[in-house]
Amino acid sequence: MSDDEQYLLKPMNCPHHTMIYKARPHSYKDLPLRLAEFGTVYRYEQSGELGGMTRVRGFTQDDAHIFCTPEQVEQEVEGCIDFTLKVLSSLAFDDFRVRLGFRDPTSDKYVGPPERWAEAEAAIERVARRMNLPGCEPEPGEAAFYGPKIDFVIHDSLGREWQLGTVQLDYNLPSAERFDCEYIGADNAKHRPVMIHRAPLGSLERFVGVLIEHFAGAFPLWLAPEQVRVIPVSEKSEAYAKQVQGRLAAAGLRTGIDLAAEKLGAKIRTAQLELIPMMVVCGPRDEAAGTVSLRDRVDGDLGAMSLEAAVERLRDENARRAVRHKPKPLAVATAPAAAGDDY
Amino acid sequence: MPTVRFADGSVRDYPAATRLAEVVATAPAPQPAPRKQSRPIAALLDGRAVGLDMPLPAADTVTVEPLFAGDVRALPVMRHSAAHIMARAVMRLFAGVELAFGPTTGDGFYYDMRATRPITDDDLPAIEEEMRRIIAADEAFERVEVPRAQAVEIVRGLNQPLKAEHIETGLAAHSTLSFYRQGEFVDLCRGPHVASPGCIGAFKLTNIAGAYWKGDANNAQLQRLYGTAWFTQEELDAHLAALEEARRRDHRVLGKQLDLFTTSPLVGSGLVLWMPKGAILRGTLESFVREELITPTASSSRSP
Repeated sequence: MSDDEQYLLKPMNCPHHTMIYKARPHSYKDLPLRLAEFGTVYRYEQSGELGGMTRVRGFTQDDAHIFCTPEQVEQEVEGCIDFTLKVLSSLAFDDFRVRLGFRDPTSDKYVGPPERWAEAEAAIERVARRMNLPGCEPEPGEAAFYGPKIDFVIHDSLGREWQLGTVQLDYNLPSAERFDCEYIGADNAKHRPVMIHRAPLGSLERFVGVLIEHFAGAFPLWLAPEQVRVIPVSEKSEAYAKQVQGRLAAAGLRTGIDLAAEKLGAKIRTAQLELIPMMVVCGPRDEAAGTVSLRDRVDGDLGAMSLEAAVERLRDENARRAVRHKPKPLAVATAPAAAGDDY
Repeated sequence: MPTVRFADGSVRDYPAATRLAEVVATAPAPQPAPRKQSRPIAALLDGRAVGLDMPLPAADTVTVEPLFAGDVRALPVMRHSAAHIMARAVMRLFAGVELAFGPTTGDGFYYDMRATRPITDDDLPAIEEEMRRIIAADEAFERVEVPRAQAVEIVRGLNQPLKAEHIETGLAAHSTLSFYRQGEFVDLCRGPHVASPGCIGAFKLTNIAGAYWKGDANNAQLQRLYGTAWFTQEELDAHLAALEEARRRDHRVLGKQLDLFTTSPLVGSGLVLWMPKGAILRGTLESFVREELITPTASSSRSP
C-alpha cells in the first residue's frame, strides 16, 4: 500500500471484537457482553490439502465473543452449549460427540492463573455431564495455551471426523500483555474479564458441506432451496396451479412450478430426482372443489385436502423447522488402527 | 519362569522365551468359542497384539489371550499382513520396485512405493489375483532379527534405498531390527503378522494416490496403494457398499449436481462460490442462527 500502513486479510474476528469492547469503558453491570457476527476470515492452507467446502482458504464463521466475569463463566458455557445443541438437533445431527480440551497439569505453558483454569475446567465438565453430552471425558493436554475448550465433533459420510462447533475460553487476549481489557467491579476497582469464543456451526462452508453429505442432498423442508413444487395435472389446470403457488408464497414458502408439457408421472419423477421435499398436485376437480393433493418425496401421496389446510400444514412444518425424514447414518466401519510404530 | 495369566483367570508357568504359539496351544479353550473352529492367528500380550512367533518376555507375569480369525482386535494384524502380501505381489509383477512405509488404516492398509513404470488402476486386478495366489499358498511369515549394520546390508542387497535411508536416520536408535520373510519376499518390518495368511478372508485394492517420501514435498514422489481387508466376504461387501454410498453423498458431487456451489481456478483455490440455491440454503441457516439464537442473547457487530 502507498502510505506506511499495512493491510491484511483477517484470519480471525477476535481482535476486532476486542477493539469494539475497548471502544467504551465497561462496568460489571455491562457483563456478560456478547458480540456476534458472521465474520469472513482467510487462512492460507496448503494447496494439496484443499477440497470442496471442507478445506478452504476463505470461510465465514458464525462467530461470537463473550466478555464476562470469572463467576459468569459456567452459565455462559452452558448457554453456548445449549445453543450448539439446538442447532445440531434441528438438523437431526444425533451422532456427535464432544471433546473437552483441558490443560496438561504437569506443564507450565498455559496463560492465566492455574486456579482460574481449575475452576473453568470444573465448570465445563460439570455442564457437560449435567447435559449428558456424549464423550465428555476430559482430554488433558488438548487445550490451547490460552484456555480450555469444548469442541463438537461429528462424522461425515466417509466416517471422517470434523470439528464443527466450539466453545473456547481465553485468558490470553484480555491480558495486560495482549489487549489489556478491563471492567470496573462492584468494588470500584479494575478487573480483567474472561473472553469466550463460541461458534456453534464453526465455518458455514464446512458446515454446509457436512450438511449436504448428512442429508445426501435431500434437505428437510425448512432448509431446501425449493421447498414445494406445484404440479398441474395438465395445461387446463395451469391457471389454478399459479393461484396455488401464489398462496404458498404468501405463506412464506419457497415454491417452484412445473409447467412443462410432460405427463404427471414424469413431473413427479423429476421433482423426486431434484430432491424437492413436497409436491402439490392439482387438477380440474381440485379447482372446482378448492382442494389440492399433497405428495411427499419419501412418503408419496398424502391425500387431497382443502387448499387452506395444505397451506397451513406446510407453513407450520416450515415454521417448526421439522425434520420428518431423518437421514440414514452411514455405517463406515472402522477398526482401531494399529498403535503407531516407527517401522 | 514367566507366569502367564489367561482370560479365564487361570495361570500357568512356562519356560523362559517360550513362543506364544506354544502358549496359546496350551491355553484354556476361549469362551465363547471362536466363530469358526480354527487355530489362533495372533495373540494379545498384556493387551498388545503380537505375532505367535514372539517369545514370552522376561517378566514375572503376563496376560495372554489368543486371537482368532473374526476377532476385531486381530484386524490390524491381518491388515498389516495383507499389506505385505500386496507388496510381494507388486514385486513379482513390476520391475525396480522400491518400498517405503506400509501401515494399517482404519479399514485396511496402504503401502507407499515406486516402480520403474507407474502403477495404474488397470493394474489392480492383476495385483489382487497375485495376492490371492499368495494367500492360497498360505506360507508362514518368518521373523528374523539382525543387528543394525547387517540390516542395512540386507536392504541394500534387496535394492531398497528408501528402507536403507530409514534405518540410518529414523531408526538410528535401534541396535537390532527385524525382518519378515515369506517365500522370496523379505521386508524390514517390526511386525506383528498373522500366523496363517489364509485367514485373510476378503480384500480389495481400492485406489492409488500420490504421496511424498516422509511426507515432504521436496522428497521423492511415491505411489500409495490402498486396500481394505476383512475376515469375511460379507464384511467386505458391506464396507464397499458403504464406501459407494459415501461417494454418492460426497458434497462436491452433490453440490455440483444440485447447483449449490462451485469453484473457479480464476477466483482461486479453496474459495467457495455460492450459487443461488446454495445461497438460499446458507441464508436460511444464517437466519435461523440469527433469529433464534443471536438476537435473543447477543449484540451484533460488523467488522471488515
